[in-house]
Amino acid sequence: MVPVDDTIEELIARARRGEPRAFETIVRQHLRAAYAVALAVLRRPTDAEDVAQEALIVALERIDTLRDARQFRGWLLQIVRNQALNWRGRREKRDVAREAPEEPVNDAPLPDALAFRFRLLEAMAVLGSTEREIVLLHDLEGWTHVEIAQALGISVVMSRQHLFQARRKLRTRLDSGAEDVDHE
Amino acid sequence: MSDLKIDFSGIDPQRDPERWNRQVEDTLGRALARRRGRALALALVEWARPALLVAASVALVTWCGATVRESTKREGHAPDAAAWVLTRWAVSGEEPSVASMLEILGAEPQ
Repeated sequence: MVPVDDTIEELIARARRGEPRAFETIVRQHLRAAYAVALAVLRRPTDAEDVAQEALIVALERIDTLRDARQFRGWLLQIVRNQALNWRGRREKRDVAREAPEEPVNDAPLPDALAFRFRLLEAMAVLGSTEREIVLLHDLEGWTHVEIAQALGISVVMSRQHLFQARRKLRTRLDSGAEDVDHE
Repeated sequence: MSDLKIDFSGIDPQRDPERWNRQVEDTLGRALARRRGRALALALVEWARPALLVAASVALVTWCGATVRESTKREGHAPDAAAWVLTRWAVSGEEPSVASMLEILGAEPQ
């Protein structure tokens, strides 16, 4: 996570005055969290990157409409979710029109890093959308349970439970995948 | 086991710092550009609103003035004409014609 100098209220106030530095801090602090939530919905990193960028741009454009600056993260993540769902809808239509498979089919062995990436993305399919959001926000972005609970509008206990379940399911899936690879 | 973090480095966009920085810069540039565009549009709306109000007020005043003038002109014509015909009748004893009497009483001239 990017170090926080100003409180989020101060940052939002400065952004509303149009200060480019405040915009930059907001983007640096929140782009990866936006990516995590977009990835939870879309499960395709390149799509998630595009959606995260667009969602942050939209959020900064509408920053004056945010009533309570302390709710910025939850508000932003909701924009990300909406953008991601719209994107997924468009993608599904496009894929149907083109009759394209979800991932390129290639029999050639993948480099380890790429294989691990595919296994990770495939394993994430076993999680529910909230579990994906929580495990990504916690383990990828480094948010605390308090931060996650606040942004997602759930209790800290619920956040912990979702994280525990998500990690357990992911490990089971990844380990079974790894065994399959070993057996081959 | 479930207390340990999952290794998401494979899908972490920050694993390539250069590419990540480009994304941040690109997002920032587009956000600032759109914000400026929105600010300009809002400024135009802010200016347009009072300008429209002034234009509407001017139009209203002009229209009211024209209406009042027109109605005064129309109302003023009959009493003036009636006074003139009556005065002439009283002073010279000359009877007004039927046409002018009808006109005084409000009939449209032929």
